[in-house]
Amino acid sequence: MKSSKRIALCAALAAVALTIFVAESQIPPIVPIAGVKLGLANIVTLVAMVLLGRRDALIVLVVRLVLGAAFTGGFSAFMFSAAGGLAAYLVMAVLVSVFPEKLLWVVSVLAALAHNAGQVLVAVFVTSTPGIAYYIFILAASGVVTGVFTGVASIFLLRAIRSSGILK
Amino acid sequence: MIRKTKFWVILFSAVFVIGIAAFFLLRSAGAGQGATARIWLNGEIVQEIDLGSVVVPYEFDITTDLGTNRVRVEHGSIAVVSADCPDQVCVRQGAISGGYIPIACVPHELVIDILSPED
Repeated sequence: MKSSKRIALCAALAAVALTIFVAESQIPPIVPIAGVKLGLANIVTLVAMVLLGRRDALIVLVVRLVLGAAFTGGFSAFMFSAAGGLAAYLVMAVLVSVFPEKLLWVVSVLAALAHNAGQVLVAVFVTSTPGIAYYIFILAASGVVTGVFTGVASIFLLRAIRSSGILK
Repeated sequence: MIRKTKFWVILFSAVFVIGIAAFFLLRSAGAGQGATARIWLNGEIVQEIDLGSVVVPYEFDITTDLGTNRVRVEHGSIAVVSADCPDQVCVRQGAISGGYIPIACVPHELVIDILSPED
């Protein structure tokens, strides 16, 4: 792929990730439990990694985290999304080449679990209250559900991008 | 094994079921007994309330540099009834009367948990 095209695609994916991230932050929490949310922006991290590789996926992620914090505000919110996003990124980076694309949803679930574990760690650290760690159980359960959802969404998005012909 | 769909379906189903079960067990453990609520701000217990001795419900504000939460105390239970944070998760969580799952308002570094009598 030509480098100009690569940069354009990175920028487009970062814009999509940011839009999804900001839109999701406007939706009231579905389940009244701290930390349970869909994590739709992880779809873009995963798709960027499959299409463009690990390095570009990291660029897309960092752009989304920094601009996302600027739009939705708050340093503590940034710490959370950064801890979750980077933990999910690391898991994806290690596993994306291990699994066939048919099992991309497995990578997505494991990434969602890492995302939630990272967020619980930051929550324990920020509040200095060990009792928060009990949330890991419900966040593991919610990570399975949201990970399957974002994984299947990633598979569909990959298919749509490939058949659209913009990669050629 | 790790390339088999079935393996992952079973593993993730187990994680889901165990996670939900553990959460609800921890939440309901020791609920409803005459317990003490502890209010934590940034890792320090700032207030302890004996919920069993509360007769008339009352509300008070907890204000820090980060924001304000309004707490309602009733006989045997405690809840956050309003907060000036964006997500309102702690408000929607409702009252707790026991168990190990605390009310967490992470943006304000506020945590309310319940010390069960047997601890």
